[in-house]
Amino acid sequence: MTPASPTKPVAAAKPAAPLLRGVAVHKEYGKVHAVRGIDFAIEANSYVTLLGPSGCGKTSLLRMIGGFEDISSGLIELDGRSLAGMGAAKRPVNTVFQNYALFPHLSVRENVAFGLAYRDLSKTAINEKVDAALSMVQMEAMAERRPRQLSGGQQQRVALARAIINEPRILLLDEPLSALDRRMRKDMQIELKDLQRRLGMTFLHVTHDQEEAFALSDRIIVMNDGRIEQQGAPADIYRKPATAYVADFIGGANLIAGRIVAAGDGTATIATAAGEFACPAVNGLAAGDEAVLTLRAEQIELSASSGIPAKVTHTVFRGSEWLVETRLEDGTEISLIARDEGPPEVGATVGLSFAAGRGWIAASGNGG
Amino acid sequence: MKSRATNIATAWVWLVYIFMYLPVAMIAIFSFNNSEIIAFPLQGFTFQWYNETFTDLRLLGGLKLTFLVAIPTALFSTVLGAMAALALTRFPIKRRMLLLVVILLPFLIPKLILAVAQLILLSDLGIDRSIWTIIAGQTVIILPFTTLVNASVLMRIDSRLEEAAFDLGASHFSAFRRVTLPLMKNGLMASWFIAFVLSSAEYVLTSFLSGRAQPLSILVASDFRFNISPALDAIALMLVVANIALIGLGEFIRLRSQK
Amino acid sequence: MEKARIGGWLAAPVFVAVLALCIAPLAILFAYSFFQVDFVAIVTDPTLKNYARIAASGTYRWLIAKAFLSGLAVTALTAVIGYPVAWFIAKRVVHYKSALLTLLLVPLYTGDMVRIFAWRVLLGAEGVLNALLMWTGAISRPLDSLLFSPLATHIVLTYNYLPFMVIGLWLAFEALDDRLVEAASDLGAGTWSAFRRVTLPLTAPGLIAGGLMVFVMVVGDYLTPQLVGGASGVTIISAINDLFGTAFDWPLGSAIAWTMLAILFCFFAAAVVAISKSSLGRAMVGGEA
Repeated sequence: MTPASPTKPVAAAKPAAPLLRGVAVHKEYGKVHAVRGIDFAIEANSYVTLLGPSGCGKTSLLRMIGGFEDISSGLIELDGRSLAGMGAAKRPVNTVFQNYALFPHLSVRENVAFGLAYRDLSKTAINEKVDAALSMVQMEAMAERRPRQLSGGQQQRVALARAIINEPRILLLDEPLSALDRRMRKDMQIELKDLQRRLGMTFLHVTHDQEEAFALSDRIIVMNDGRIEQQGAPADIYRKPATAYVADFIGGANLIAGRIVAAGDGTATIATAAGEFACPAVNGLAAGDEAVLTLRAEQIELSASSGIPAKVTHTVFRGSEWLVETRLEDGTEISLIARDEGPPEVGATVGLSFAAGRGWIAASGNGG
Repeated sequence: MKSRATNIATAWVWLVYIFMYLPVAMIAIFSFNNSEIIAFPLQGFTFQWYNETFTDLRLLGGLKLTFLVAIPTALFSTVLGAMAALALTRFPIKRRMLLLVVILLPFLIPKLILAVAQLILLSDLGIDRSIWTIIAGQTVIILPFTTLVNASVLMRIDSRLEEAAFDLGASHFSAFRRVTLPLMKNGLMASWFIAFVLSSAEYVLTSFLSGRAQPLSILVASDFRFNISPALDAIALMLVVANIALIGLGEFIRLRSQK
Repeated sequence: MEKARIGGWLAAPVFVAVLALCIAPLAILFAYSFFQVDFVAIVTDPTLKNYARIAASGTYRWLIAKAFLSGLAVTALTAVIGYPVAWFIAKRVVHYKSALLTLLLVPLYTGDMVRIFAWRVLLGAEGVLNALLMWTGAISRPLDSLLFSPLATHIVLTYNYLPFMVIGLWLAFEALDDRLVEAASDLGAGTWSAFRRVTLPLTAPGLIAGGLMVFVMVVGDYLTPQLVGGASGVTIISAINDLFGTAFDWPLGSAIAWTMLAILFCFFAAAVVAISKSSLGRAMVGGEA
């Protein structure tokens, strides 16, 4: 990992209106609030992922954008026009469904051509478009097969071709890779990203897999319990998590709870059971707030005597390195990486330290 | 738009259910009507027909015979149906499709044609008609229904449960007794009940095979040209009410067990 | 394979039962269809005369055609009436699904005879339907022709067999993935277009299976036309009954019966081919076996 750069040009505001905008979007099913009044904006020609655990509201949000669910309150705009009252059939938005939802009674070619029937196109024009879409996903040879005769990866490609052939303003992808095995998933990640660049189309991709989100996205929206916890470039989300929840969910950072004693411009001082630390901090913290010190495993250094005392509880060999799990005196669990020096013995007391300027102070949030 | 479709469908479903229960309502009304003639206008309220179902010797005799036929018929057709369902869903038998066609065959044959054919066979073999000929004939026409009920239950039981039992050392028989059979229990009861009802209501086959033994459905038919007795309405209504009560009880138990 | 052996033992009694109680009687019936009657004795010299008589008789040809036309009409009626009901139970009901399905079957438990008599009361001249029509002002005098007419027969036949159609369709709707309909509308299909291009083809196997059940039962129904059809109640099935009873011509009755069976088997085979040819049907059979 390269060290964090202090500036972040990616997130700079653009003058043009966003492609898709949500204002106070709210969804409730009976007493259950699936999405709690969120705001978001998605730029044209970008790959955006909605990341969160199952039940966080990300799929509900996607279905509202796709037109499969009504919005309880709030507003979604596409190209500056509200989508309210516009059914899924009328929206210039297409979806790649989880498990693909390919029509089992139609061939690959008929599946891909399905949406073209609603446009004024000649037979030859339809055939040309279908051939182009199939070659885009390298499925020309399978055109006459039925979906059942295809592997998971092949079905995935057909589902993509069936959606992009309609040239939607936004392509929605609902956990599109979850049914594939690990290897296939990696390959499809590369293909998806590549496809998005070639088409210059906006992809909005729902996933619970942070690795997938990092591999694909220009921008990540992290959701939890119906709210947006943070949105930004992948590197920012990883290095500067806004809340304890994001720090934990993205890459499982170590969290040390404490209270802010002083807050300055982009830095703060936090008092924890292990001592007081001055670190870069998320904006908006004030003295007296509950907060967390977040430390990535690779940021912590190990020594025999100096530093925060901790007891080694577990060591795990991971090939190029060792993962060392320790426990502080107040019970907080901290894991770190030991490389060349080899792991300490289980049960030994060690000292933990981290370089000044490393670490990051995030808001407590509700944790998750 | 979607909710409008749902509203129209709801109204339609109500209409269909009203249509389905119109004759049941007639049966209910005339089972309390103080007249032997089943016709409008109504003549006043009475429990007489319910009393009669428990006192009319002819009806009681028919009712007894109906039970004597329906109980073994339901038993045989349920056991055979369960065996067929097990063979169809659990065992790699050859010619599975043939077995399925054979089981469905009695359903495809018009009952009157099957009844006539069975009657010819009986007379050619010199077998006298009796309660046993009714039971045999009914069992085979009810078999398709009991097979489907049991197969639908077996298809929903994860076959890995039986593999787990084998893995734990059970024999085929013991895996069946300790794992499959308890899971099939509800299906078997449903199948027995459906078979019982189908048997007791069956007329065409029964009338050909019954000889001198006359179950209730035949007595009803012999009354038919003139006017069936309101006591039969009373019996039919009790059957329907018992059914609905059973459904209600089942739903009650199901909802309670979910809490 | 031990499992295969057990499967064989389980299937054997079922085979034997159907063989003895269904296939053997029908085989004897088939043999009789080539015999002839001489006064009160049956002559067993094989002949095709019975089949020739059926082919030559306008009455029998018309009765056979009428049976199958009635079957098709009632099948179509139950399909139109049952389709929304099956959709509703499968897709719009959560908690009371099994209760609604059972409630649909409960009226059948009253027994053919009692139920048909209830319909006679409903459709009779002093019946409920006439009273309703008079009350709404649609008619000024009771319609005598309501009962004992082809209309009455078809109303009661539709009533009798509607639940079977609903159950066939309901199974198909339960197997239909809602996301496929969503996918259709996502790709631009309106309500009607999504129905025609996705829902209908994917529920077709249920429609065919339910339709076949209804069709077979309507064609073979003996009681309903007899008891509510009046003069129109003469059917090919009642003709067979007469030939075995008062008319005493078992061979001709057998020949008519086998003509009916042959036509029914053709319909059945066509339905099986139609279901298994659709890729969905293949998937359903493969998935369940």
